[in-house]
Amino acid sequence: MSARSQLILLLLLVPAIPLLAWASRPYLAPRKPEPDIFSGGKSYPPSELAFTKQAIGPEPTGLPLITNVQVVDEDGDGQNEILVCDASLNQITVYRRQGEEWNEEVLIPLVSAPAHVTPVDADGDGDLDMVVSVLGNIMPDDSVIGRVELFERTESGFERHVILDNVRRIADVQPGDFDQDGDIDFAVAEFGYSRGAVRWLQNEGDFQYRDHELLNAPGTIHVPVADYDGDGDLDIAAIVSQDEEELWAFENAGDGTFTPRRLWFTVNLDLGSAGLVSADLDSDGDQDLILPAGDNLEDFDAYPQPYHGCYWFENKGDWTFEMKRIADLGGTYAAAAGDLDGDNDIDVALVSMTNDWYTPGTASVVWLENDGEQNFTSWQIASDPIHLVTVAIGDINGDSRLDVLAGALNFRKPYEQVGRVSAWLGQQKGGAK
Amino acid sequence: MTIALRLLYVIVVAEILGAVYFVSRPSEHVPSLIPPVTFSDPVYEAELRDLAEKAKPDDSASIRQLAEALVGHGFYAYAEHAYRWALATDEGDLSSQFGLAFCLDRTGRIAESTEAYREVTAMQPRTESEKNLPLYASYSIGRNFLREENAESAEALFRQKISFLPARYQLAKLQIRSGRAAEGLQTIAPGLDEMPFSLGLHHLRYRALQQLNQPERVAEAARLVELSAYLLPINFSTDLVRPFAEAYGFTRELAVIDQELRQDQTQQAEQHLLALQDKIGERRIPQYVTARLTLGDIYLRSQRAEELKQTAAELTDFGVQPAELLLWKAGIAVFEGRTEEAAEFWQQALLVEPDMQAHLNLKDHYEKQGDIERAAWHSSRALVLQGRALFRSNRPDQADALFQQAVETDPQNAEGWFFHAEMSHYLGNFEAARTAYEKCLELDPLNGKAIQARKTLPEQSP
Repeated sequence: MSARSQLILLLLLVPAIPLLAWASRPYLAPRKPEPDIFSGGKSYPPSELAFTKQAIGPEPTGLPLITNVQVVDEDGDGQNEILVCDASLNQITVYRRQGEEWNEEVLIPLVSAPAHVTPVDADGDGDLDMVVSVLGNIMPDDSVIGRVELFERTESGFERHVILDNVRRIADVQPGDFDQDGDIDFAVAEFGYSRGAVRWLQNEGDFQYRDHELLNAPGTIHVPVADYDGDGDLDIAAIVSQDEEELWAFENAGDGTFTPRRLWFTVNLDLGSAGLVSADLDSDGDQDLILPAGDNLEDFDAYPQPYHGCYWFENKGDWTFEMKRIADLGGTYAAAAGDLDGDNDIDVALVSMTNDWYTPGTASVVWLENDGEQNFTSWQIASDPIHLVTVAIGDINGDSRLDVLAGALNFRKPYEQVGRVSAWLGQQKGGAK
Repeated sequence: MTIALRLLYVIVVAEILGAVYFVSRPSEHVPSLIPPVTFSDPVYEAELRDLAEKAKPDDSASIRQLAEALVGHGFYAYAEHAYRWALATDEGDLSSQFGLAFCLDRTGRIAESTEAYREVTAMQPRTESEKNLPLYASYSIGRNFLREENAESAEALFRQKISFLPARYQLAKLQIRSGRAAEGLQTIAPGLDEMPFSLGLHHLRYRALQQLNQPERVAEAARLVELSAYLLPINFSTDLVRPFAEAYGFTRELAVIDQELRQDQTQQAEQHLLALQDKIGERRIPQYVTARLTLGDIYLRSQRAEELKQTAAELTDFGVQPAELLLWKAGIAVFEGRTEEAAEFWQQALLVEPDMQAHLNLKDHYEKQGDIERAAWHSSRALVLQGRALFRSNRPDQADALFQQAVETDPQNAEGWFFHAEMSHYLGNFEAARTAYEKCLELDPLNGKAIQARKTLPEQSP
């Protein structure tokens, strides 16, 4: 190469080299590895027991706030309906099946943030009245805004009786003849917020009730009623959340005189007890208790925690309950019991409210298969919709197979996979998988 | 020429060496910490991207700001890495160390978070806002012990930090719940001296006395629970996150609007609400409802029926029916001269929730109709609601004056008598309290609270 050519080449290289280095650096320079983003969400093996998802009603609009769903023969026609508490529309509705369609009708309008509806023949006239647990506000609120409203079924519709007023937010009401005088009394969970109580309402006739305080503590969610000690009268159990995390029972002497018993507690203030269900999970003839745990809504954006899931309190007699953890679903908010696979033992369905919903596939509905020895295996039913807070098991389509029903409370991020009332229809019967 | 060529060769070789060094240096490329999700708040998304753009490896404050924006919207797992990055830049950044511990804490990695909080306790605060973080970190370690059901370690730690009131509370709670009520009462006492109306401490005291089986003191303690307020924070998660949540996106815009409304800048607030509504569009997010409820309130006060109808229709289409809609319908009926219809809507609104203004409107309505009895009924209920609000804001004398007025207006108001009794009881006028409880029970013989309160009322006023 001639000196002239070399000169030209070098003169070109002098500015080109730094430019080339500058331009290529973003592509050639060693990069920090992308961070490994932690995910606390879990998915489980897909259910071998087949379920077919069915939307109940039309595609939801807005952000539905469903607080409770139940499978019940509301009108006594021998066919199950779906009872729904809707806190965004402030009403109780019922879905009735007509062929393949589900038609929703308003059963009770104008109830402020209903947490639960209890169908019961409160006045002994042979039909189902409705008792509504009125929160008054779905958001945290310590105000005296709760009520228990009894809707008496009459020929012209439901007639409202406010049977407990001047209390904080009411989360649950359960019936029972506690004083054994032949009429229906009620156990009441006054959730409140910073203050609350467990109460019972003694029926004095003519829709008049006297309220008795059983426990002064905030955060009681559910008060399942059963004869836990097998002495022939009805007792009350209660789960107290809100940093307390205590399981209580109120032993009935038979006349409505109750002795409080703290059955269990944990110092883990973050457990997030979310409900309480009574069921004979081990089929030994007494009532056990099932505790779904995963309510950390005190956080703006709650996340799965290692202690979330489902706990079984086995009734060992003499007011001793032994706790076992049977599932680890993050953000578990509700549980329901039933023999889903038809093998003559009791299984459990769980739903999740808060979870790592940004990770695709995170489970929102699971069922726990009981092997007959109370060893439970978690099977995933669904990951969509999300934000589920209520679950029920029952035969909704009259095919004698148990179905799973869930309701969504869409008030936290992400505002996606929005559901209202969803069902997963059981496809097989008799334990076949 | 030869010299020039040699010189150029030297320059080129030097440049090649420099270029190799330059290119092989580790990249300043910042891994993306923008979560790969569909954001429901486009304002927040734009702000987050902007913060990510501005975050520079040599500027820990800019990285921390990105981390805080992520924490504020619940992206803890992403914020964790931003905090780690900030700490890599400035290992003495106490705020970032606390943020990192918090992210580990809230994502359920308890042991790791305890270690991270421990590091906070060993660091030196450099700013006023960091002053309390080491103490909060210690307290959070105690909470983590509780989450791991390690009561013994938690108790030791809370005892060590007993001058911090939330730690004193937790220690007393552990003592009482494990059957050491007398010890617990001793722990609570200095706390109540410091914060006499703390609901949390009074509730613990109530439980301790119950355990010690002292019924009279239990009744008195229960009354104090009712009269106390939530003053003692025991969980700092929300306090930590709230400012970060409110600093970005639609949440910040709503906070600004709220401020404008508080300062009576209604027109400005309305303009901002309309602009916010446009940004939200058809997105299914809670702010869709919040913006419209706030706008509706402005329209109701300024008597704009058409706008109110439109806003109500949009909310109904969105699938919400709050009690406010009934008040709006009543307002529209009034603006259009249909007062009977308005009265029906106010009645319906009262079925959904107690509302002082609805009672007052009905009082006026029935007064105009000459129905004095019904007017008095509503007036009395409005007075009770007003009195209850004053009672809750710790103004018992003023509250009692309203309760007295309520029972004078409608002597059949059992609730009015009950609260008059409660206030008299609280103010130490036991005779008046007894009379009022009895009057309440005459009207409402099954009122369990009144039955119980009358039973525990001391014989003589102090």
